[in-house]
Amino acid sequence: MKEYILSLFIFSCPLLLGAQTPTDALYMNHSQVCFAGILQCNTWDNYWEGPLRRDNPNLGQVSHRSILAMGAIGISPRLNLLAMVPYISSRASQGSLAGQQGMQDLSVWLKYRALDSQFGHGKGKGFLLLGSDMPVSDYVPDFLPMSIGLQARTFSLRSIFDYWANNGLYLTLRGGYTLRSNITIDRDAYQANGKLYFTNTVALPQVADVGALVGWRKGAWVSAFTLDYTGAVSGDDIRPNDMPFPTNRMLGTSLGILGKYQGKHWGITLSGHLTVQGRNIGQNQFIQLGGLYLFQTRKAENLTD
Amino acid sequence: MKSPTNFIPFLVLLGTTTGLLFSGCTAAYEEPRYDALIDSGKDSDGGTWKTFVAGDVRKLTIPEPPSATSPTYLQELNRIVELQAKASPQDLDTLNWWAAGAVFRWNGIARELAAQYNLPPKNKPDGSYPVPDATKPCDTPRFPFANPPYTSRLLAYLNVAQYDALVAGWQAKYRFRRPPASKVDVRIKALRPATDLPTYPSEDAIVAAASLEILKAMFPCEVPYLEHKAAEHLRILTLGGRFIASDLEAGAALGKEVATLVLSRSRNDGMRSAGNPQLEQQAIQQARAAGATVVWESQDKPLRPGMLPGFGLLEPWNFDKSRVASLRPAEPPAVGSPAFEKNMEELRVYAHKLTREQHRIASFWSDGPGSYTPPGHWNRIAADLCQQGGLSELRSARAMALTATAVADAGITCWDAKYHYMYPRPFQMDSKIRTVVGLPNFPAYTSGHSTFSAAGATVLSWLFPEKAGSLEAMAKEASESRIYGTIHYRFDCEEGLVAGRKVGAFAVERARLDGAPR
Repeated sequence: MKEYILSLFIFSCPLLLGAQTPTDALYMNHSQVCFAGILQCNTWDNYWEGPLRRDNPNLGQVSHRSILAMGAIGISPRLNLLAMVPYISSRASQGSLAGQQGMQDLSVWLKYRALDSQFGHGKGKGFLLLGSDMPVSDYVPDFLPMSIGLQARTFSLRSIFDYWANNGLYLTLRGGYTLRSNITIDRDAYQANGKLYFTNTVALPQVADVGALVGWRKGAWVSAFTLDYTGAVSGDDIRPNDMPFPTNRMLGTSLGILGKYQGKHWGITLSGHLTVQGRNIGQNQFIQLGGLYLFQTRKAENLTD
Repeated sequence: MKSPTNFIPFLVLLGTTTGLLFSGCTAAYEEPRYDALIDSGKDSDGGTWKTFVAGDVRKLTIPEPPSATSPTYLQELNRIVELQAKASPQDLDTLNWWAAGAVFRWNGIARELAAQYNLPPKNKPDGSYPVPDATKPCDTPRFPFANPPYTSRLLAYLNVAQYDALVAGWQAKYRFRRPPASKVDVRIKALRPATDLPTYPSEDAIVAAASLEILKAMFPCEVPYLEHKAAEHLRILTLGGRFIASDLEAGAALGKEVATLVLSRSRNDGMRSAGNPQLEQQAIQQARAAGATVVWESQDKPLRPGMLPGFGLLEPWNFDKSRVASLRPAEPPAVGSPAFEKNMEELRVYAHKLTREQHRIASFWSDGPGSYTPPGHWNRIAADLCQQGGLSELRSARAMALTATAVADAGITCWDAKYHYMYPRPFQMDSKIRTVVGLPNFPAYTSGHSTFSAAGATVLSWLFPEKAGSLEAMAKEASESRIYGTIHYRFDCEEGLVAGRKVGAFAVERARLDGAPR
């Protein structure tokens, strides 16, 4: 979820589907390991300047492409450890602004299975997650919308509830809250909240997100519709005809679909979403394709756990 | 299978630790605190220093203050005692905020407004651009568009008005020699230090009133805000224990009077026609007639008229208008010539790959839309030097006015060159030369950043010789930043630095002869 939270303007991202992620109810068994390689592309032609949806012929279409490496491991029957890091490159089809590229932020998550039991004709699961992001390169965070990230260290707390009926239908509800550290920019003065700050330290708004997923999961196959809202809880609007800035109150609602096939070892995921409503973000069209490899590091005593 | 509860303490511990570590990183921004300015009254001859616009300040009428034995004077002292008794902690915070210096604070207010008004108007649906209208300043787009030339000009007027009015004030101070209130009445606390500087008229009130008049004219939509700030300033000054009501009234009247004189210059300095788009067409024809094969074209979509094509025709501050053409740098390399191609090659390298340090430099000095612009950047550097150096209001105002006029003159000479040569930006010549800062909407040759910065650094280096090395380095870095940003050829920047130093030297020449100590 980190890209989703960190850089809504930049590219509102991924429910890294299917792979075991901070946003789904999938879960690695003890001593199971999963590696994934994921390609993502996010583009927008229109964006919201505050509440106003507009285009900008001096940007044209802005796209952020990324390649993401991810790993997950079941470190105990109830605890998973996840890590991922993306390489991102951006470009604008019009105007003079230069694209940016580089490694973005390392995300690490602990996913704790707090609840797992039969309810009626199905199974209910609940997860608690703690996560943190750490920028791994010195990219420029305030050259929006071309920047590849915001350089914030983050700390997130999330929970996920999942009900999976015996006939394969399932519903997942999720929500999270992300604290973001102050960031340091190259400039020593900037405008935010209608005020001029004489410092290079920028305080970022914190972010809340909620989402729902309804779909069908049976055997090796998963498919679903997604609805997500992610939004900064404070912040200012992009000023008329100005560039975005990390202090902006970026928020958006997106609708998406996903599909996944996971065989004994190999899996593939494909998903996408569209931003249907937003503020201070691009109207994203996001698509991702991932390949997964799953294996058991040792004979598990309890594969069905 | 392990019990799920085994992990809960672990999760709580992890969460708490991370949360605690983190809480230190998200602390709210605190405004920097500045030491209170203390003027020990060294410049008793300040009233004889040469002004920019006001001429002989002895001609100005400053009423005789109520005598120290008059009932009015005693009433005014009593009033301060009452007000100090009622002062709230917030009042003291406000007092301390303004105590950093009237010149310092009003320049900060001006920079903040410049940043807020520095947004190019958005195009209309038909592709044309609306022009901010001074008679309807609060309509969209708001007036003014405080771009770099506009900001250089407004800061010059602000600082000249502050300085000229303070010279007039100093002349009166040492005529009447009224001591600070806290020195004549033991009941009055010296919340601002009492020194030997006479208090009638109040230097803070002079600066407040002069700044208010100038900024109201420059930012007509901000009149209520500015009046609020000036009223706050004057109100809080009564708590300091230095000034009594008649000090403030006389200062405010004098500040307003001098600012009005200074503003009369602004009505005929050439700014009114500086935005005339026909001047751009004339410039194109003249450049073509002079042999230019490629002339500058806006790279904005839709095509936007060039910024202030007539700014080079403004009246300079520190030299005669007839000298502007002689300060114009020699012709740049012809487009397509080997020298031009060599410069393009350098830019292609930067467009392909910048080091992080080069990118930092480009960002740090970008001063683009939404910022206080390069003239604001140098205004800040000057204000900080004065504040850190503990300069008096009068000396600060002089240093700031010399810097601001030099920077404004730099804008005039640079814009003259820009619309004389109409030289294209690198991106116009090769669309692969993408930029890491916004591409300015006016011709390339010469670099505004370089000219502004060299002029500012030259004046400040003369005023603060111990800082000359770092100031020169800053100007050089500001200049280079535009090459790293790939919006300027190296020759734009080098010639800009040369012209800026020449422009700055005129301000230094004025400073040598204005009667003030260096």
